[in-house]
Amino acid sequence: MTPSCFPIRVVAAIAAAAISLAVPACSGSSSPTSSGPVAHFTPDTPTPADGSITMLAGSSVGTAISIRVTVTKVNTFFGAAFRVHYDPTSLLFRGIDTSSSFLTQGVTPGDVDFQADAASVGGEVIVVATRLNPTVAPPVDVTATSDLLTLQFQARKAIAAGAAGGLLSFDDPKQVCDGTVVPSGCGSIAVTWSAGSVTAH
Amino acid sequence: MTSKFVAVATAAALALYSGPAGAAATILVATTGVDSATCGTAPAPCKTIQFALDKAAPGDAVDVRAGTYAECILVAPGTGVGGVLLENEGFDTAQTTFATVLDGTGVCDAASAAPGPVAVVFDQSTIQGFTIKNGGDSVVVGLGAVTIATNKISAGSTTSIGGGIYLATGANLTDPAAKARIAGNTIDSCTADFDGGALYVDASASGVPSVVEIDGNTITTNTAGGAAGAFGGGIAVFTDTASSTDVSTVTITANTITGNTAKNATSGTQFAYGGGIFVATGGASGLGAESVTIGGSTAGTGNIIRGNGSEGLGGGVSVNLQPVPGATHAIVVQGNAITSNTGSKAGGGIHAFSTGTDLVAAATGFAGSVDIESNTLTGNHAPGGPTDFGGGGIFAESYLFRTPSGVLSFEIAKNSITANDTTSFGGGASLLVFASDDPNSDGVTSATDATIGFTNNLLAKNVAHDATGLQARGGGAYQYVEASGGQATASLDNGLLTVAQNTTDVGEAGLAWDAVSSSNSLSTDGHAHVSLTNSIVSANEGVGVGLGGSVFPGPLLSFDISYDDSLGNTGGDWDPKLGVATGTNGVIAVDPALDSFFTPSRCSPTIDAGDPATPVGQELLPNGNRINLGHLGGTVSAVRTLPDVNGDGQVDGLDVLAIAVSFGATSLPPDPRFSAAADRDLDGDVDGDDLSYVAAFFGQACP
Repeated sequence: MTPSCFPIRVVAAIAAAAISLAVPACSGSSSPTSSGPVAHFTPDTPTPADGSITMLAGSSVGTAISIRVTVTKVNTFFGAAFRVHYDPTSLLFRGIDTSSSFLTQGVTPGDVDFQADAASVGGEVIVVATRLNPTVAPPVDVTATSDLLTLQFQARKAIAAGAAGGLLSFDDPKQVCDGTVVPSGCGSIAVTWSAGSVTAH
Repeated sequence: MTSKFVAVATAAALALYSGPAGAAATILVATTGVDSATCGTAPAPCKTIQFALDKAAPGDAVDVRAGTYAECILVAPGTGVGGVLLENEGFDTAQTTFATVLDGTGVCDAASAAPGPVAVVFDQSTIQGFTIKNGGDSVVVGLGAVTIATNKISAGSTTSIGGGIYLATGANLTDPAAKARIAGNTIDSCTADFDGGALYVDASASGVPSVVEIDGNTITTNTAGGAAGAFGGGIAVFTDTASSTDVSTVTITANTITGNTAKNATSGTQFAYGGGIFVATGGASGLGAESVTIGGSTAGTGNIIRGNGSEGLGGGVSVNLQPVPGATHAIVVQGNAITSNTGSKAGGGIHAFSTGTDLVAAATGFAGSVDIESNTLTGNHAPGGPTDFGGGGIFAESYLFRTPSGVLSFEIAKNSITANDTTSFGGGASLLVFASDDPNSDGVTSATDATIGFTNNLLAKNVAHDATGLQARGGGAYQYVEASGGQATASLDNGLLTVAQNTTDVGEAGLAWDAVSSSNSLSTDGHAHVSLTNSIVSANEGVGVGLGGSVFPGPLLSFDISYDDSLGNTGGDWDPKLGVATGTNGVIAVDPALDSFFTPSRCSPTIDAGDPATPVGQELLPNGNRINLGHLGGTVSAVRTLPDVNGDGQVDGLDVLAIAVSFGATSLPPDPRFSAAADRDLDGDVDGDDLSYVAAFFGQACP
């Protein structure tokens, strides 16, 4: 019997200045080190362009795979919101890891907020990673390629190279925020978005 | 109100034994005992209960061993002033054996030479843990601040009132801090030719406050009436106060009241009221402060009132409020489950009546209130005819006669009124408001404003249907307002209703309105007024909201409709005579997206669609700072507003970003970073609370 999966929701409790990160979505039978297919991530753009948000390969252990979401040369980066589309029959979203995020550098935990929700829309992870209050935690000039957060997936089955089940993409609505207030919410920065695909064998 | 016992215990009955002064004693009784000067100990118990009681001093206990005792007793100490405790041996509150039996058969039952009660309990005394049966004039009589608890009382009868228990406070009271308690008893199969088949309470106060608690009793299959129209097939309560400083308080909580019957007079001249419970204030004088609460706001205090019947009005409950000048009277019916009762003429579940006295000649006013709140009314029936007023769930009637405005409040709120039926008017509710500024036609008029407030009620799946299929009206509710005289106004204020899936044969399936403006002796006409706001009227089988055929709106018959949603009613959403135009006055016509419990979905267009001038009340944040339509609007159960900060229909990271950039900003002093849209809790700053609201709804969307 397969254990139940609880909705994945990583919420930063700002008032308590405590951020819960990378909460596993399921536990039990799907151990990342269990036998089965071995997963790999192949980015669409191995060398990120300037002014981009790009998925790059992180660590991989058996069926568990980490995918870095990186920012390359974007000035006044305050936060980003996006959705990641995936095939839930092929991949299981397990959470996010923000421990190496550049957003957390030089500010207190209460000055940043990360959230990821894979429960509300099938096959989509809704993600936000942002600083709070630009007067206290100002926007960051990202001068190289820096980690925003890490997505953690697990392959449910073998995925052939180029198969639709392994494709990851950034979905709308998505935005990079520059920390200014505009009528619609936050001022936007134009970037290019590049994702990739997972194989498992 | 009828009084049947004089609260004077004769000296001859009570002064048989003077016990020793000092610590309270326990006197034991057993069927194997022997009555003697020294009896009452375990080795030598007394034989009869009355003998032991007569030996008792105030504060003593008389413990009675299991067995049947053919006695009819007076429960009071044999000497001195105070109370005595009479209980079965080893009494505890959980005992269930009831093996100690007081049986009036052949002694004081109806067939005996001297029919009377099996036990008369005097002020400050207690009787508990007995089976008590076969009383010929009530089974137990309580006089004063007595405790009658955890007894099994049955097979009592009386040719007057109170077949099971008769309780009178009033002149019997001696201790201002004491109260009468009737608790945890089972009372069944008792009859009274007049009122109170199981229990009659004369809760009067004259010099000493009267406090009566009726709690946790099970009252089944008792019958009252026949000799006259009965008040209370199960329970009848009359409060009274002899002067303006007197206070009488009655609470009726956590009782289970099933299968009781209030009969009409056999002669056919009087109707019965209250199959389960009947309550009236101002039993005789009514000059002071009187309050009766049936149920309450605290969990566990509501009564279960099921399957009772009145051959007249109020199958489950009937309440009657008639304050006099100078008085303050209140009746509350709250938190009860009132199901499957029948009021043969009107008011299947509840009948509520109030009237305001002519105050033109009175030196002082009065304060009166009837509150019917948070009850569940389901499956009740009002099988009346075309001359009756129906009201499968509720029949409420309020009359003011030359009574100044604001002295009498009548509110019906937060009730769930579902699946009730009638063969006349108002499957769910029938409401009547009447105001007259010149009741005696003497030409002396006074401003008179009678109003019933009908708010936050759910009216669903109720039926108005009669065999002819031609005359039953108002599947959800029928409402009648009449004002007589130029200074009279009769109003029905409907607000925050959900009226859905009700059915009628002809005409108005949701709300049916009749209004009359009539003249006083000065030939001036009254103003009848009905309003409907912040409400949902949906999917009724017939016209959603309509007027009687002879009713045409005008200056004296006014109908104010605003901020409502009406859609999907098979006979049309609005009577054309009302002149309602969708899109004006906040009226919309959209699917309210109700679930099977009649709660709007998160994305219902009725969320935040109420009158901006109506406070949001208790709606939890985020509430959009605007009240929802329907019965949950303004309550803690209202569907919360989706915290869609950027207005794109979905709560996601973009909303978090919108909050993030305004985070820490305040409206005062003005901060250019402050965004009202980001301030979800409307507290003037954008902070973690606002972020937490978004987090709570993260990922949710409305198309």
